[in-house]
Amino acid sequence: MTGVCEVYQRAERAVSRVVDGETVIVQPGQGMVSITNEVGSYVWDLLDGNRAVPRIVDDVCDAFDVERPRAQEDILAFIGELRTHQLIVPCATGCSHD
Amino acid sequence: MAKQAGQECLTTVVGGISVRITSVDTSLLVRLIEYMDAEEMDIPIDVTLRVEQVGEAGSPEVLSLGASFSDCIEGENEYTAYLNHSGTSVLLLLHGEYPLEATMNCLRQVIRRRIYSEGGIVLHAACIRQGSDAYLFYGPSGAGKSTVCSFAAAGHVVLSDDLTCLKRKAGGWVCWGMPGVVRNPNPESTPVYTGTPLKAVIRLIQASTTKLAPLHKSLALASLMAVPFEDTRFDMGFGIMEKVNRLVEDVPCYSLHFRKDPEFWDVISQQIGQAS
Repeated sequence: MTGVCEVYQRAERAVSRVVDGETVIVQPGQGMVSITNEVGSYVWDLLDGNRAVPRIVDDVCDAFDVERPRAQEDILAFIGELRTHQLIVPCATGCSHD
Repeated sequence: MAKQAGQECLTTVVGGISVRITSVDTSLLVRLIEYMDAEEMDIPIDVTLRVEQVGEAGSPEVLSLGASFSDCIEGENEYTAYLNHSGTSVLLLLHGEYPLEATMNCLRQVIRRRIYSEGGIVLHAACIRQGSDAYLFYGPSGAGKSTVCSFAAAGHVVLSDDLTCLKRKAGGWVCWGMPGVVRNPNPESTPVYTGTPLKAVIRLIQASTTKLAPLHKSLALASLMAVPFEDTRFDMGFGIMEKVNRLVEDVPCYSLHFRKDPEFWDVISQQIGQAS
């Protein structure tokens, strides 16, 4: 379960590259892969261990034409996928970073 | 087998890299020649590998022998290999009971390092030559690399069933297998040690019917990066994602749904082989 107020950072060995407008995120050799669009790529860049999810939702809503409830739903789903594939790790909890 | 400085030696070429192996253990060299199907070659040598049977891993004797070298590969308790700075001179110290296996393992590691230092990559993938072109087959464990190799027929040369060396050359890619793997070599065709141009990269998916479809480059990159690497941390140090991305940019990528029969070769020949 991905918590709204958790803070995440990219896993140490996760690497990414943009190919034809999509961002490929992978743990090399581990079978852990995610391919995402422009918004996902933007979120990926924000997963630096300094921003809780609400802050990331704010940033995405500022950068893209999207309603906040929809943005939060999609971002939580994306973060859940990244966690499942061990491409990010939680580094703190709580909304004090906001 | 030839002689060099009083020691017997043999020469093999992998990934465009010529390696001369010397040892006082003639029986080991004979077994290596048989295992690798090595030929006598009078060519410039890129790497010399001197094999000695010495003590135990980490012993004072072994450590003193490696004192003048700049790099080391530890083969668990089977061997210790010392390399000079440029990787052109290797002292292989065997400690265990399996000198052939230890020498081959060390040779693969030395080749892999040279391939990376020369800008190439080594991927867990099967590679088969058909005519003058090579096809790279990859996928997760159990995807069918061995099955594809088992269906190699007349006109096919299995360059690799597991590890394939690739180097970029003139806007395309050239590939080789690791030593001791090549099957069905055709003596009348171009020797495999010169490298074979890569025609296509093919992701394997076992299915009930055979179907070949173009694979989007992002998915090709993702799935190639997901297959196991020999030493992920080492490989990443050589910017492997950049190189794999270059590979999928340069070479057409496909997804092959195939069932366990040789029909897929017809599909490949029709859809890729004739599309030049």
